[in-house]
Parts: sequence; structure tokens; C-alpha cells
Amino acid sequence: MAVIGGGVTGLGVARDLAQRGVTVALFEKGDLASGTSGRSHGLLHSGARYAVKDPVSASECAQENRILKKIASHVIEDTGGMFVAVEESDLEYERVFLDGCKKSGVRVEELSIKESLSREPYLNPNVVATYLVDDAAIDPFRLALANFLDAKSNNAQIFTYTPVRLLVEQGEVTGVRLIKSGENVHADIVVNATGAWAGEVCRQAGIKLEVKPNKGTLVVVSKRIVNTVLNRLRPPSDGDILVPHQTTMILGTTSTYVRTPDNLLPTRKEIKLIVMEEEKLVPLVRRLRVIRAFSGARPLLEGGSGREAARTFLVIDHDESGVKGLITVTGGKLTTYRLMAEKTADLVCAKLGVRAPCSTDKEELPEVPVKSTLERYEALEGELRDGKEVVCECEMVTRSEVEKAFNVLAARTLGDVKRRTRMGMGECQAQMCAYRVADLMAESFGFGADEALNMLSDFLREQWKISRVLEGSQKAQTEFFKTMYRLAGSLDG
Amino acid sequence: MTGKVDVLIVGAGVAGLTAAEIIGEGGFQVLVLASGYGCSQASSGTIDVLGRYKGENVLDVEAALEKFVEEKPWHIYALAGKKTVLNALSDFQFRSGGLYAGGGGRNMKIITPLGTVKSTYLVQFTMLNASFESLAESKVMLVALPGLTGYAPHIIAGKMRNKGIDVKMTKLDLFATSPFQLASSVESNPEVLIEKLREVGAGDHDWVVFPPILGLRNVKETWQVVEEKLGTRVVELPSLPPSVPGKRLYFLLRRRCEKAGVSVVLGKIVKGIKLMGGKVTRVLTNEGSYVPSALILSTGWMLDHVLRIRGMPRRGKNEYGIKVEGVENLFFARTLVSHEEKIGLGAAITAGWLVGKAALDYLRGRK
Ligand SMILES: Cc1cc2nc3c(=O)[nH]c(=O)nc-3n(C[C@H](O)[C@H](O)[C@H](O)COP(=O)(O)OP(=O)(O)OC[C@H]3O[C@@H](n4cnc5c(N)ncnc54)[C@H](O)[C@@H]3O)c2cc1C
Ligand SMILES: Cc1cc2nc3c(=O)[nH]c(=O)nc-3n(C[C@H](O)[C@H](O)[C@H](O)COP(=O)(O)OP(=O)(O)OC[C@H]3O[C@@H](n4cnc5c(N)ncnc54)[C@H](O)[C@@H]3O)c2cc1C
Repeated sequence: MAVIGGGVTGLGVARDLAQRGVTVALFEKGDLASGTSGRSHGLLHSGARYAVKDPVSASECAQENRILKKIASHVIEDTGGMFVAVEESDLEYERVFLDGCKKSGVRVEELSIKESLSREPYLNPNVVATYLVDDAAIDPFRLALANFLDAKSNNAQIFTYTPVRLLVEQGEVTGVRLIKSGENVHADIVVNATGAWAGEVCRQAGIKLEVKPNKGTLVVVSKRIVNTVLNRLRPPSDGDILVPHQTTMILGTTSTYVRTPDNLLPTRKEIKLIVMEEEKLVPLVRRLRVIRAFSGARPLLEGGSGREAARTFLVIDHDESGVKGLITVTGGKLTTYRLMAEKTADLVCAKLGVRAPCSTDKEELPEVPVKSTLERYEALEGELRDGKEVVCECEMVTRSEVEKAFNVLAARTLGDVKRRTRMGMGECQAQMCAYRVADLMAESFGFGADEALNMLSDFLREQWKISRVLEGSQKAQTEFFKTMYRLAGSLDG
Repeated sequence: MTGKVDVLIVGAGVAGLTAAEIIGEGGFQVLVLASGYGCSQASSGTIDVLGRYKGENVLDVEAALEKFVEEKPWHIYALAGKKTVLNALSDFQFRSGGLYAGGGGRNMKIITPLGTVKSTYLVQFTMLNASFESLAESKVMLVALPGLTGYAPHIIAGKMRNKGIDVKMTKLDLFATSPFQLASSVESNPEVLIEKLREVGAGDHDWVVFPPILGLRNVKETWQVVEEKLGTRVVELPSLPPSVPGKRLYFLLRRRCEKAGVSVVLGKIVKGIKLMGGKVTRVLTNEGSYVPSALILSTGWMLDHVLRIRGMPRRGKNEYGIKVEGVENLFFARTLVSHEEKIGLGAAITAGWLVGKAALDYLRGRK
């Protein structure tokens, strides 16, 4: 069995199959969760957002929301969510919203405005209606890592930085070819779990699959002043969700079709639009510093446009259209990744004649041996009290956590360390810690001095890509650090 | 607060303080206002004039400057002229009381805090031998202090090994809340450091290489004591912020300004200027306004994104010019850095010098 794609879906498939005793190898072209999974809003949907337009998705979300809160509670912050009507016109949507939720089994509870404001004092005081739902914040990186660890513990082999192509022999998919080494790996079945890239992979076997990459932009602000997920009570539109994450808040999103899911960068216009819209939910947002913005590609399925398109998922057995050996799973959401994996694994097992049932909905995901920032704050003790061992002060990442990222969690680059530990996701955006971690790599992980410096350059280039569209004090900060590295540190690249 | 002054200077970085000293020495009353310390203090304190030109490392600065000013007639170096640039720099060095070494028309190569190499013009004297060439073929002890960041000791050690230097890393157990505190405690009591280094056999090495912690205000004596007592040669490397060499540079300029009778007030934000009849008539700050005979803006380049000053006349494309047409008593000493060409404090010193002289001429002409 081979799986292509190391997002949450592919890792979920690997975990599920490995639990059922199937031999699995997973290939990811970048790092774990470096595709859409790591660029999502990190909202564990209650289903309410899709209740009106897409009731199937809504019920799937409601069901998975309950399951994930049980099996993955350590990567979820159960913040709860609110739907907020800001203007009188939002109220036109109220009725259909409540009906939709009822029909799809999504729990909603009315909350008085007074209660809402005492729960979230920074909420716009002029709101006209508020409802409570079961939304939560989920850390996509830690979710991916937990699935990775579980799959590995059941003997799955997982290869990062290994792009592959389908191996096609006489119209049949017989495995994958590793693009870098040219090696062929044969497999009875290949699962294409490449999300927004799924159409591209299918094309390698001559299959036409309509997955349209749809770009969404998210904006990170430096302070966390809200502790509940906030949604605008209106038909889904730009800039109407706010999710608190660790020390920051993420605002979003937007929706535009793009040609390819690769190299997406936010524009200044998108950032402005998002901040302007979110101000209506939380007026103080305008005064917070935008420390970063990023874009991801939703794997939207054919039919409808943008937000109209289905958010449900597809598991396709290409055997039915004459191509043996390939199954594609795409579409869906982070929230429904486990269900997508289950359906895919069911199909694979049926084909392989494996009887073992799915157990991913009951078995808890393993602990991730790196803390979240909130856990670090709670554990302000031991290692942390002795400030010597902290390498990233903003997110309080310790030296031993960086070591675990390399030794246990298969990190290979500075970006990988960031995704695993939140190193550099806070206020200073990795500017003060990047060189320290590079130095640590030269000290403890056998990197040569030049290798460590190259890695530092690559990482910073990626961090700075966004500086073109950031403004005000964030721009000044970026200029400062660019000068620090490039003039004082004479780092070119 | 409202005040009449001869010259108001906005910005207490190297450019502003260089101009302030010149005008103060010329006998005029100078007030420097600044929101904070600026980049100058965050710098690693080496004076980068022109480290690279057309992708090539520059060693002969005089020759490279000659071509540079021809090619970029709008640049502050061209406005000053090659001779003036070199004069301003040697004057800076001369007045540094021995803190700065190098110069003489040539760059030297220095090891940066990240272990790369940079060509720079003047360095603090403790760093004169901070190059792979000086340390070649010798036995080196590289000092690391847990908790002291600002440089990448393991990368530096790796680079030294690549170049065949026999380097040993020593981690000293000396904890400090900041490098400034450490440097000043080494200055007041160098024995603790010396003792620890003796224990680990520092004396058996040809060189002991430190991060910049050998003194904050009195570097010369601190350095001498450490070198004598250890019985080996001692070198400092530059550092990233928080930067002791940057702080030393600031103290040096403040001392010089004090001698020239200049007052410096930190924590003031200039919000706007008023123009009337081709002159700046009033300068507005977060606390009160000022009525200067001449105004110098030496606000660096970085904070412009944050602290916008209202009422500024348009400067067009010329970021380096020291004047705008039609406003006789307004001077600019704002200097851009160039990452590619390794231009930093060299431009700040040149701009401060040029503007200081120009403002002085203007004030004298009015009398
Ligand atoms: C802006 C935005 C916000 C979102 N917010 C939410 C949210 O809040 N909640 C939610 O539930 N959902 C959200 N989603 C949707 C969710 O993120 C995705 O549906 C989900 O992450 C898809 O996961 P995946 O594993 O299928 O795809 P991906 O995470 O994209 O994984 C596919 C992987 O395949 C790899 N790959 C591609 N081609 C190859 C190849 N040839 N060889 C090897 N590897 C290859 C890619 O590198 C990638 O890592 C959001 C999406 C976007 C764009
Ligand atoms: C991290 C770092 C390391 C560097 N290392 C080196 C190096 O090793 N070698 C080198 O040659 N160069 C280096 N540079 C570049 C060098 O520091 C700068 O080019 C130089 O300091 C600029 O000097 P300045 O006087 O023009 O501006 P600054 O030193 O930035 O001073 C600007 C002043 O203006 C004030 N100000 C700004 N706006 C207002 C306002 N509206 N109201 C009141 N006050 C205001 C600020 O508070 C500050 O006092 C480095 C830069 C950085 C950021």
C-alpha cells in the first residue's frame, strides 16, 4: 500500500490502515502538513457554518467534532464558538440558519447579548443576536504529528521531502516512482490523498478529475483578546471567522479560484479586506499588529463556484472507470479528515480482503512530545524557570523540544521545527530565534556550519516573502531584522 | 513645553549625534530629541562603508568609492565626494579615543556573528584580529556563555574548523541577565572571568576568542587586564542585538556631544512640522513644541513606517539628498542601508558630517 500526501488526510489513511495491520508507505513531497492542512484556519467546525448550504457536510462535521474532541483532546482547545449577528440585515439569515442546524443535527443555543459580552468583552457592543455552537480551535500541525506517531507505532513508513509520480504500466497503476532518486516502489493499491493536487496526480494516469484549487488567505495578529471562535451570522463570505490560537488570533478568510495550489501568497488587498470585515466582530482588531499572513488552497470539487461548491469529500475507486490500482480521496475539510480516512481505508481493505474494522474513532491519538505554548505557560517550571534553555522566547520553546522535533518527529529543516514547536510563530516571527536554532543544529544534529547557514537563509527567505504586503510597525520590524541578518550577519541569499 | 533653540535635531543615532557634535563645537545651541535609541545601538558596531561593489568584495575602499560615486551621483557618498567621506571617517576614528581601529583607505575582513565574512572599514580595536586569516594555523579557544545569545558559536567553530583552525569551544558558567550587565560586571571585576578561563586552560591557546563582553565604558583597560593575566592574545567578535559594541558606540558619541555642550532628550516623538515663508517655523512633539532656527531630521529609515511626521515637504525620489528645494532651514541626514553593498554606519557618519557642516554654514550666514 502506498499513500501519496502527508496532509491530515493522507496521515489519517496511513494511521487507519496501519491499525488494521496493512503495510503502508506514505510519501510527502514537502514536510508533514506543509500543504493545505498547515495553512488552514484551524477551526474544528461544529457544522453550523455549512448548515444552510451544505447539510451533508454539516452533519459530517457535527459527528466528527464530537469524535475528535474525544480522541484528540490534546491538540484541541475547546473554546466553544459563537455566531454573531452584527447588523440588522444579518437577522434575515437567522431563521434559515436555525432551521438548517436543526435539520443537520448541529447543536445551537441562544445566548443573550449581555452574556455574550461578559464572556467576550472585546466583542462589538452593538451585536444584535448571538448563538453558541460547538466550534473549537484545533492545531493542524499537532494533529498531523499525532497521526504520524500513531501510524509509525504500527509500522507505517513515512517519507517526507519525497515527491512521487504514479507508476503506470499498461493503463494500470502499479506503484509510485520517487522523483528524486528515480526508484520505483510497487504497491497493490495507491491512495492519492493529495488534496488540491489530486487532479494533477490523476492526470499522470490519464484520469480527468475536477478538483479546483481555491485560494484562501488568513491573517495572524499579535495578541489574543478573544477566547471563543467567532463567526458572523450571515451566508459564508470573506473575513467572517476569527479563531484564537495559542498566543495569537487568526482572522479569515477569502475565496478565489487559482490555477495551481503552489506558491500562493496573500495580497495587500486581501489582508485589508479581512481586517476591515473582522473589525465588525471585534472593533479592537484594527489596532493589533498583523504579524503574518498566509494562503492555502482548498480542494473544491466540481460544480458550484467558490463558497457554493461542495465541501463534502469524495472517495473515488478509479477501477470503476477502468484504471486499476488507484483510489483518490479529496475535498472535505480538516474537521472531517478522520471520516475521509475511514471511508478510504474501508475501500482499500475491501479490495485487499482485509477484515479488520476501523478503530480510529475510538482509539485516542498519542501524545505529541512537544508542548503547545499554552501548556508551556501552565508549566512555567523546571526547564522553563531557568531561562537558559529557552530558544524561542515568544512561544517559550525549549532546547529539548527542538531536540525532540529532530529526534522523534522527523524534522529536517528550520521550517519543520517551526511547524512542530511553534518556534517563530509568535510576536517576533522567528527573527531572534532562527539563528539560535540554526546554531543548535550545528551543535547537536550533525549539520555542518555551511549547511546550517544555508538552512537559515532558506528559512528566512520564506519568512520574509510576506514582508512586501505587511505595513506599519510590522514592516519596520521586518526591515530591522533583514538588516540584522543581511548586513550585520552578512547572510546572503 | 515650548522652546526656542538654534538647532533642533530629531534622532539620536550616529547621524544625528555626529551632526550635533559638529554644530555644538561651532558654538551654537543644540537640542537633540529622539523617540528612542534607533538602529545605531542595535548595530554590531563595525563601520560598514562599502563592503561589496558589483558583487565583488571591496578591499581598496578608496578606489571602489571613486567608481561608486561616479555611478550613483544621487548617493550621499557622491554628494559628499570621496575625499569628504574618507575625512569624515578618519575624523570619527581620531575622536574615538582609540576605540576604533582600521581605516586608512582599506577594508578588512571580519568574522560576523553568524560565522560569515564581511568587509568593513573600521572596527572596535578588540576585533582587529577577528578574521580567519589572523587566527589561521593556530590553537584557538572559543568562549560560549549559556544564555548569552547574539552570535552563533557552533557555526563559527565549524567555519574555523573548515579553515583548518584548531578550535576548542569552552562553555563558561557565567550567567547574566543581559550582555550589557555581563560586560559591565567583567569591567568592574575581570578576575571572575579570568579565573574561570584559567581553570579550563585558556593559557595554553594562541588566541582566546570572546563574544563582546570585555567592558562597556572602559574597554581598553578591561581588555588589557584580561590579555595580560591570561598570557595569551585575546579577540572579540561582533554581536547581533542586544549589542555591546553598539552600546559602546552610543556612549562614545554621547560623551563627545556632552563635551560640545549638546543636550539630548530621549522619549520625545516628533509628530509634525509647520512651514511658513519657505522656512520651518515650529516643530510639534508629543509633549510641547519647539521653535528652532534650523531643523535636522536624522530619523534613520526604519521608523518612518511607524512615526510619520506630518507636514513634511515632498522629497521626490531623492532619499539621500540633504535639502529640499524651497525650505532653507531644513536638513536631512537620513541614511538608507544597502544589504548588498554592505553600506551601514559609513553612510550615517557621512550624512551626519555633511549636514552638520551645512547647517553650521547656514547659521553662520544668518548672523
Ligand atoms: C484558507 C483555508 C482555511 C481552511 N480552514 C479550515 C478550517 O478552519 N477547518 C477545517 O476543517 N478545514 C479548513 N480548511 C480545509 C482543510 O484545510 C483542508 O480540507 C484539509 O487540510 C485538506 O487536507 P489534505 O490532507 O486532504 O490535503 P493537504 O494538507 O493539502 O495534503 C496534501 C499533501 O499532498 C502533498 N503532495 C501533493 N502532490 C504530491 C506528490 N506528487 N508527491 C508527494 N506529495 C504530494 C502536498 O505537499 C500536501 O502536503 C481550510 C482550507 C483553507 C485553504
Ligand atoms: C540589527 C542591525 C545591525 C546593524 N549592524 C550594522 C553594522 O554592524 N555595521 C554598520 O555599519 N551598520 C549596521 N547597521 C546599520 C546601521 O545601524 C544604520 O544604518 C545606522 O545606525 C543608521 O543610523 P541613523 O543615525 O541614520 O539612524 P538610527 O540609528 O536608526 O537613529 C534614528 C533616530 O531617530 C529617532 N526617530 C525616528 N523617528 C522619530 C520621530 N518621529 N520622532 C523622534 N525621534 C525619531 C529614533 O528614535 C532614533 O533615535 C545595522 C542595523 C541593524 C538594524
